[in-house]
Amino acid sequence: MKRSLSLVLAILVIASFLLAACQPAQPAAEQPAAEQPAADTSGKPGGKVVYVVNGVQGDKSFIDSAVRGIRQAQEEFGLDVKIIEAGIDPARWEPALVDAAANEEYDILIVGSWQMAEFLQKVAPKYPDKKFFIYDVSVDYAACDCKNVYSVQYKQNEGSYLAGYYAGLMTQADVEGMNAEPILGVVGAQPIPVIDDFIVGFKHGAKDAGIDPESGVIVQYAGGWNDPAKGKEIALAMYQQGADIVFQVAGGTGEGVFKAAQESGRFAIGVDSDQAMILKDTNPELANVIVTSMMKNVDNSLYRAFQMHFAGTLPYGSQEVLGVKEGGVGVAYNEYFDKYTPADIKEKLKKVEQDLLDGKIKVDTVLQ
Amino acid sequence: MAVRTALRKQVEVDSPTRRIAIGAVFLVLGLITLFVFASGVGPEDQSSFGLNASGATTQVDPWKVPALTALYVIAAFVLGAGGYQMFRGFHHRTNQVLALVVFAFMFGFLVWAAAGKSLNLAGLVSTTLSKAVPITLGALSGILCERAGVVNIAIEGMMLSGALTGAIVGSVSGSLWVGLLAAMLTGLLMALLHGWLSIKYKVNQIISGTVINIFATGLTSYISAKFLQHNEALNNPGIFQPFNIPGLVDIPFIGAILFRNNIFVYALFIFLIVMQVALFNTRWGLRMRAVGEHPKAADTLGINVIRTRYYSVMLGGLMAGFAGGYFTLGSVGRFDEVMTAGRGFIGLAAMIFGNWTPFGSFGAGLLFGFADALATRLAILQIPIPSEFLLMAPYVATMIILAGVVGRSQAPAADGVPYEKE
Repeated sequence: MKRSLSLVLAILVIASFLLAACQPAQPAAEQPAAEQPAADTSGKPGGKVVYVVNGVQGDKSFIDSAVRGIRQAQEEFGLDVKIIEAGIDPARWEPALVDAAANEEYDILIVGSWQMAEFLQKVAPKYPDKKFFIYDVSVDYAACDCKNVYSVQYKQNEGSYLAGYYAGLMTQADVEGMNAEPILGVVGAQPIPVIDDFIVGFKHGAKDAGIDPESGVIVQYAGGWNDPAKGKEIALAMYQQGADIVFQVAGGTGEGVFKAAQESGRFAIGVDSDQAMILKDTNPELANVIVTSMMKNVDNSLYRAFQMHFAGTLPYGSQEVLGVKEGGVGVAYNEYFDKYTPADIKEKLKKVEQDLLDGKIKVDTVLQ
Repeated sequence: MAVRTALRKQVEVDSPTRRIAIGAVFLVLGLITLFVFASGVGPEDQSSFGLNASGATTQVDPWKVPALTALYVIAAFVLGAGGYQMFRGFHHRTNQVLALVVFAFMFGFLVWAAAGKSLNLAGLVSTTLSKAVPITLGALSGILCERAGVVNIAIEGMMLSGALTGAIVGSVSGSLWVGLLAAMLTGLLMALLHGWLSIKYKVNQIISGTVINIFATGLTSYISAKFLQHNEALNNPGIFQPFNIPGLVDIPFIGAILFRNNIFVYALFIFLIVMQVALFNTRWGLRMRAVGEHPKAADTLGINVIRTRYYSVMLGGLMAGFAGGYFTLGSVGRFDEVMTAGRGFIGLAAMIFGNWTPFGSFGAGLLFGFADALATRLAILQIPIPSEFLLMAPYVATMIILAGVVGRSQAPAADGVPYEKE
């Protein structure tokens, strides 16, 4: 009796640890080599690409956008793509990268976001004949021998400026669903430089639209990227406090912000991808509250990097920063935007976007 | 037993050390009100409290409080209570006075935080209630198990696995009710495992509970990462929408807070009343408590101890599964890894703080919910406290309470002791 019992307990414990531990080793995506018809690759440069995700797919924003860009390049250039999810536990990210760099077959390895820069600086110099892309952060080229690394960053402050300017005009306009108080909200994931860059850009835009950036823009951090419950709670509090539009800069946490907007009958602004269009098919009611999204076009930037890589013009060993001008950031002009936005606000927004393109506006930033 | 309990309580409440300690706490709170809060507001400042929760059908004007006057009144009350407690003592009314003083102090804090600004008080209360729901349901699950003498620290794991199956089954079947049923059955299954290990095989109940918690965390994270993240169709059950109770919802202020909720909140109120009556006014409850207090005596009188314990643990599992369903079907409408975030453990703390009674636990749940809700509001009011500290608030509140501010609670005497029939 006792023995069978110990056995049950032991099996339970071992099973739990195994289940928990074997997550990162799972290649997340089906092997795309299989879905790629062999004939398709003829005449295309081809090559093996590994993308190590420090998180999980399905956030409908940042990570999914990167995957979209890689998939697009896969189609265009006949690449062999493998996506490895390192999961949401930051302690597993470095081992996942080290492991992938050493054991996977690849020509180009892709990682993203600020936490990965430090790890890549250690890994990249060990494989001088391989190439690495890192997005949303730059490795410190002064500190490491990273001649084989291409870094791409985004002027999220410029895109957020547009979003803030737009939201500022909307909250003061006579649009259905907007209350009398000119208050906006921002839900950030964590107080890190990239997120704060979104926030100062948004505030600057709101200020230029006539909103007091201190009392008129409520900012709060959720403390994580995958906590929609927290996102919802914070956004609900903001709506109760009189905010009409809440800008979410929190990846998967942001889905809670949309839920809160839906419940409160107010609006939200999405981030990184055109979130309304992504949600439109699976969850039209949710898409209906997203007036626009501040797009950080990770997908375009990665696709562009592949294009330049195959053309031989990609500046390895240096970083690029893409703004509105380079198509790196912008706001989403979709059917929901058209539905809610009065013509005069559309015009003003276009004008400001042109000013950004012409370099007439210098947006506040926390980076550099 | 009852006599001993009463005696011990009398002694504890009346102990001079405790009297002076509590008095000192009152005085400190009063001084903080006077010197930190009152000196931080201007003489003309008003704190404006919004009284309309979202969806309120009857609108009320905001309540404007002259901040300085209010703070002086509160400080006088708290200091007076502190002085009286120090030298005379409130004796058996100490806990009630403690609750009043803490309430007054918190109100003073809000007046200070909202001075010159506006704070939606109704929204705060309404968030407090919805935050208290999973905690209180977890506590009710704990009461069901522990009143019968089985310690259940696996509530967290039961809630987590219930949340997962609720999301999956709800998505696949397209029915929230079927999802909720699946969540409850999952809790039941976990509870059966716990009962089997701890009642039949007399495994240490803490170990059995820990195993279930680890198992649930590993299993749900695995399933979530492997299937749910890539398959939106499996993780989109929708949520139970709030509905109004006609008539009552029109009451100003409390109408929209109490009578415009989803099924989980109403169910909580029903469970509270039913459990209070069932535990303390029915034969079933008496037997269950007897099994938890003195199983041998109960056995001698012909009560089947083993069966009673099994039933109680299974009921507790159903309750924990229901609480798990709240996370996915009542709150956000999707499952995320470790989304219960320790609410099961806070529920246990609420149960202990509430002295193993349903309404006591509900009060404790409200307190934790308030700490949680407040953190969000304070950040919005731009109080100069870093957001990381504010996010800690519910856990800090748990620790302070468990550290024994309110005096010792009385666990069922045979709680956690396996029953061995001779």
